[in-house]
Amino acid sequence: MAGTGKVHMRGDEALVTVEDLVMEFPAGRRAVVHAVSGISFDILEGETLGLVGESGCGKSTTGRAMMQLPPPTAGSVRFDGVEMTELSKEDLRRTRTRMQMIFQDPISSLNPRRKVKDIVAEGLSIWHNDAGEMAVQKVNEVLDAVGLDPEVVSDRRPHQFSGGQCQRICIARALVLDPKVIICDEPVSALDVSVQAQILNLLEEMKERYGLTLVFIAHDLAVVKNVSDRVVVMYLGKVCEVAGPDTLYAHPAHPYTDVLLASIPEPDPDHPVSDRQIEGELPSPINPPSGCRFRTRCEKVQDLCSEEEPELREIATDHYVACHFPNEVPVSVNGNGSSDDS
Amino acid sequence: MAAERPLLEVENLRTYFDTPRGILKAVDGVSFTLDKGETIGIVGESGSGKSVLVRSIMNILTSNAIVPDGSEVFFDGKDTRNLSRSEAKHFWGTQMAMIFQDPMTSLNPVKKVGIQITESIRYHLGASKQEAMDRALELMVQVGIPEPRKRLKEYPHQLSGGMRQRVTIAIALACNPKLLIADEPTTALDVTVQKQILDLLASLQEELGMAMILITHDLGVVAGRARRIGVMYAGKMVETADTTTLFHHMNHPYTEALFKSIPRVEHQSHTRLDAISGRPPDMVLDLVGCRFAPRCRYAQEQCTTEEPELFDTGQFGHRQACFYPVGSPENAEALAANQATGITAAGLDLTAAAVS
Ligand SMILES: Nc1ncnc2c1ncn2[C@@H]1O[C@H](COP(=O)(O)OP(=O)(O)OP(=O)(O)O)[C@@H](O)[C@H]1O
Ligand SMILES: Nc1ncnc2c1ncn2[C@@H]1O[C@H](COP(=O)(O)OP(=O)(O)OP(=O)(O)O)[C@@H](O)[C@H]1O
Ligand code: SF4
Ligand code: SF4
Ligand SMILES: [Mg+2]
Ligand SMILES: [Mg+2]
Repeated sequence: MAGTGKVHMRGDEALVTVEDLVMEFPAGRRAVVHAVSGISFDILEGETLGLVGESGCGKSTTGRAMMQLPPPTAGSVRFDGVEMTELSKEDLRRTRTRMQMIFQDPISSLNPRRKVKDIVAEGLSIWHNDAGEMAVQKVNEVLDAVGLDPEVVSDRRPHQFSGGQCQRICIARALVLDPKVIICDEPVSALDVSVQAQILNLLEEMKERYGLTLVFIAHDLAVVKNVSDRVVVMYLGKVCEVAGPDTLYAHPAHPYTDVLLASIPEPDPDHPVSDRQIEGELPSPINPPSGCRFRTRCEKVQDLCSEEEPELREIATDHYVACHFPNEVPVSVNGNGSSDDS
Repeated sequence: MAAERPLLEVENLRTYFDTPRGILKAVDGVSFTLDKGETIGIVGESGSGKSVLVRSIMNILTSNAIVPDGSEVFFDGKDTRNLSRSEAKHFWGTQMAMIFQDPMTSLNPVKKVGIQITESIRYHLGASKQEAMDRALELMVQVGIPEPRKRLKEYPHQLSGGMRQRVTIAIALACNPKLLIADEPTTALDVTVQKQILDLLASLQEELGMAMILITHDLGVVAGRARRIGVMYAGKMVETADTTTLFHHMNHPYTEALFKSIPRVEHQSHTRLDAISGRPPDMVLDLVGCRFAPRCRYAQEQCTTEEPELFDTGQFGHRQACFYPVGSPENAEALAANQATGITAAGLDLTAAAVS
């Protein structure tokens, strides 16, 4: 059995349901890159799902496969009751307006020759053929919402803006089509810390104001914790652990999550540098380890780990882990999931 | 006890660039010292002048650089600015060495790893081919590269990012430098690999007794790894202190703002971050007053006209450059005054959301 389990799925309540998603890329001489190997997760309306893991674990591939860019090798992506993998080209284009994506490098994802107002209106003119008064109004509204003065920025081109401002333009461009879901792929990784905070706050505001559902992809655990209502930890194309952010960070059950957290440098000189360090290097996704993919680097590895792939199971209320020998965690934890007392 | 002369003394260092837009003052009067075997962390946001500062120390500036008279860099008591080109070249490697953010910029993509390590050993130490190879192997082991013999015969692109950075560290260490300058050595790496590399640097440093300048934009990295920290803003050092003092008694409003803007794993999810509004000044302009004033919540009239100089607070070598240091009564008064009007003397609207 190759599945990593689905006990964490929340059924029909979910706005987006991804099941058994597989993405493989040819790598020459009949070799295959196993970028994503049968992962499942779902997202409730209004939720922010954090997707975290290190370089090459398949985060971007997952985000793009949800958009069918390109469609996955296997598996299902249901969005608002519609099976995305079965849509005709035309229907897919229409559906994609309601599921938008923003990328890591804000500057290079904007066309340098176009004016800001045209960049933001791009989607509108393709979809509604009404690049007139309504469109102008809508563009101004979203520019204003992301903290840019339409009067000042509309006629300028991207190179006249800082990285943070370009990311605001990207967010405006995504918002203009009134999407339900925005997939943010490392939206702040290329930005300076001081600007990063501005964009993170902005995303939280936009989510509130437009009732958005977000997928937030990042390798920075502190950033993911800050914005997410539920976090999925990935390693080499598989899901390791799923939980609410506060639970996950207080009680990591998967040995990988645990060492990942121990590696974060804390901006606190009284916090001793952890003496734990992950062993060795990331195995190749062309020839991933049998059984548990983390076994080549795991401190707790046993014979079973190479023979049998661990399935996701619930080890505490709304806390799921795919490991044969997880860390012990309190059975029921308060403060699971999102904190409502904002 | 007579204090030993520091290994590195930087005094009023200024580095300007002649650009089409005018003179860009990338580093504008930085002073600090570093003892033998000590680590100083230098933090600051992109463009604040961190790389130019260390390139000036290394004497590896581009030809459009201007270093005005009065800028001084003493290394082991020697004025490095008077070195001839060939002396300077020998200096790098044997006295100071540097590693960069992207190992690919310092590695040659078409040369085998072994050749690149032995080249520098043979050049600086005049070692024979065999001696150099033995030393290269020893270094590969020292920096924790598995299967070192095999790796020596590989090209950089055959190695992972973390392994490449280990190779550049091996090259930097080849001739036992007294000072290692690490310019964002882990910024391009994953957090678990960053941990491996930082642990490696710390253990090598202890073993070899090297001093280190560790540049990063991540306060978390310096908190655990540096004994002292210098905070740079717009070409100036705005605060320096030993690490514990800096974190517990930060004086400069920029240090405080930088610290508060970072998301912390220790905080509950959805904790609102204190973003710094605006962005750093354009360093081609003639800057009047405090460079942080347009973004500072405490700015007063004086800040817009007069430039605060770095001065010693008299507290354990803690130096800072602000007229209204955080934690002082003057600071509290300044904030209260600004909050009463809703706007600072430099025009920052305290009621508006932070916008870049
Ligand atoms: N088009 C492609 N062709 C071949 N391999 C690919 C392709 N896209 C991704 N991969 C491989 O799939 C794996 C997952 O890549 P992906 O970009 O999804 O990782 P990621 O988690 O987003 O990493 P990062 O943090 O570096 O962005 C990697 O091994 C990558 O090299
Ligand atoms: N060779 C050069 N010619 C002209 N300007 C330069 C040159 N090198 C650097 N600068 C400018 O000097 C300023 C300081 O640059 P520096 O690279 O030191 O910043 P930094 O603090 O290292 O930033 P980062 O965190 O992005 O590496 C910037 O405004 C930069 O554009
Ligand atoms: S299943 Fe085994 S190898 Fe995998 S994480 Fe758990 S203990 Fe480690
Ligand atoms: S209070 Fe004045 S001197 Fe101090 S940082 Fe703010 S603007 Fe600069
Ligand atoms: Mg990615
Ligand atoms: Mg730099």
